[in-house]
Amino acid sequence: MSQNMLSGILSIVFGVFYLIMVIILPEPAMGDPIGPKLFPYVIAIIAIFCGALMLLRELRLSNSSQKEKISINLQENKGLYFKIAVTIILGVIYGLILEPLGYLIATSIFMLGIMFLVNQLSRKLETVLMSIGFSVTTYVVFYLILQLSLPRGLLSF
Amino acid sequence: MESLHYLMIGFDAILTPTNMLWIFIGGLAGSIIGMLPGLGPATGVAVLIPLTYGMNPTTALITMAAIYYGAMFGGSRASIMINTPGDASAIATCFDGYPMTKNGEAGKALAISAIASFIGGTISVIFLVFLTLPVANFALRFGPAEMFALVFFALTATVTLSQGNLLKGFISLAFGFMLSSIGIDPQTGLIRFTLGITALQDGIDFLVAMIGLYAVAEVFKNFASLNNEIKVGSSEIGKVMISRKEFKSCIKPMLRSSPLGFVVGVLPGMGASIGSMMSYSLEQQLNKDPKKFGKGAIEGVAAPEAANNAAASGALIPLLTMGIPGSGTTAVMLGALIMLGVKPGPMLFQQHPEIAWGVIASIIVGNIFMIIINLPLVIPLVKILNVPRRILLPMILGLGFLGTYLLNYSGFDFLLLSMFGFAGYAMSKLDIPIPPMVLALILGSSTEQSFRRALSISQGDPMIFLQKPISLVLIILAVLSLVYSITRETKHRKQDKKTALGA
Repeated sequence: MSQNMLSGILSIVFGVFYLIMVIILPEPAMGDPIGPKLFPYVIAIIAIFCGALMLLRELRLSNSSQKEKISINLQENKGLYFKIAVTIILGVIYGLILEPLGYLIATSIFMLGIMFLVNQLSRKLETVLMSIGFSVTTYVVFYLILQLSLPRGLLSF
Repeated sequence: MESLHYLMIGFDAILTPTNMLWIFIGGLAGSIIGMLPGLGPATGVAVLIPLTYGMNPTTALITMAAIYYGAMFGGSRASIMINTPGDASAIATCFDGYPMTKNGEAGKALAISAIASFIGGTISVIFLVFLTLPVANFALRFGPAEMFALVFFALTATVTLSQGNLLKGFISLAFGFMLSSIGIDPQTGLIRFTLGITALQDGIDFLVAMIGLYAVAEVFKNFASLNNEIKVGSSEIGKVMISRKEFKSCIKPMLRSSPLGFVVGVLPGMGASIGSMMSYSLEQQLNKDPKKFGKGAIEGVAAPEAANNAAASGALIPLLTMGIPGSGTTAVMLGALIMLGVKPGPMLFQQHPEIAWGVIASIIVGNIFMIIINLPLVIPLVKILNVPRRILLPMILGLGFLGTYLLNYSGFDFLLLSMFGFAGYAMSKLDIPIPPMVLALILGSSTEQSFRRALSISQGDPMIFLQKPISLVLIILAVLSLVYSITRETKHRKQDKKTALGA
């Protein structure tokens, strides 16, 4: 599937989903005469229209000429998608442990995870030092110097 | 000479040790981030936003502006040294900057790019001083119909004037509007599109979205090239200096490129990347010896560097006077300002002249700082290019998460941040431009409100947008830009077809 085709399909899917949500939105009893639905209707129609046009054009192109298509290669980027997925999971965990454990500990754990991911588990000493170093430096700059509030959690400083 | 009087108010507001320190730190940090391949001014401002959280609005705005032009100065370092532009506005600098390095003239190239950036920045700030007040006064007359037409024009132009697929630009725009409509409708109190998630009732925090799109997504993109190690030694740079003769040959290109860059920078959607390209090809055409371009012509570095810095100042005109960002970077700045409780627009010049004029005055000071940072200190600075990506990327990610947490003190935002990071990565894979979405996200709510307010004034008659002269002109301009780019695209497609059939 080409980039353009996928873009068109995504735009139609999001547009239709949004349109359905606009339709089921209740009419407000009072308020302004134009209402909170007209503008979203226009947006949904733009998304569906552009997506459909894009898709039609792509389909015609793939039938009529042998133009080389830029397709998305999932296989080749397996390692990359793995890294992205792990980063997202680590990010969500970071959000959950930040307040109970405190900024210093939670950030060190998050950075340790990311740096191990990036270094593929090699350079262990460097990774540990950099992770703790990052946490301490940002804590000093943002909490102690700029006096923004960061959770202390388990530690008392 | 009202403008000069206000400029003095601006200088009064910023000439304090704290502000000077922040201009310096912002400029230096911007230079460093701008220098890193793939990371441009938008990422720089997005990642460093948390620095400004505790500041007063004037200091915050001048710090962000310093990061912005600092990144414009820094963007060319990587173009010259390693042939990898720091961001799109430094692409044109590669054409002659890298050949100069290969000819053993890296020092010269670094020197002229810093000088040209300084001249471009300084000339354009003079335009800025004399143009902002008339534009702001003009914008004071805008009612809801004019405001809607203005945003309509700005958004259409962002899609049509930027190079790339037209339909994809509009798709990106539509996505941005969808996201911006999530939450409570301010006019009726109706809760829209939250899917029952309470945390979304206040809407999507656009700064979280921007940090996701510009910082996290950039890190994801760079995951692919983790092991590209770069080596920059100081021995090959040579003296960071140019001769009088070389300076003379660059004067005219710089003086031509600065106003060109400024005008292009004012227009939404054009900005620094197109400005620097245009000035490069203009100089190539005007030069007596056009063949030397691309082989290390010093004028070929001077012109785009002057233009892209001038464009950065130009972009501040619509941002400050009308509250309309024309690019990703200015959109991020607008987002941060709104969070600090400052609403750019004509009223800013009346109510808080010290903020609006402070930033203009700070650019004059900042340009002097930047040339100091970028001339004598350039050799240690380019060494930063040697820091491996496996160290830099986690730090950028860490700063992005920290900035997000400090926005609302909520770990829930990390999920949103990661999702926007992935969305930004997917969009760049699909070749869907991100700036239209960001602009729609931040302007969406006010666009809809002014659209509805104008229609309730006219009791539902849509002709109100065509009856007001200013709004009529803006809508005609928007339609013209649309027609222009549709014809341009059809022409291109016909040519493509011909070559496809011929082959």
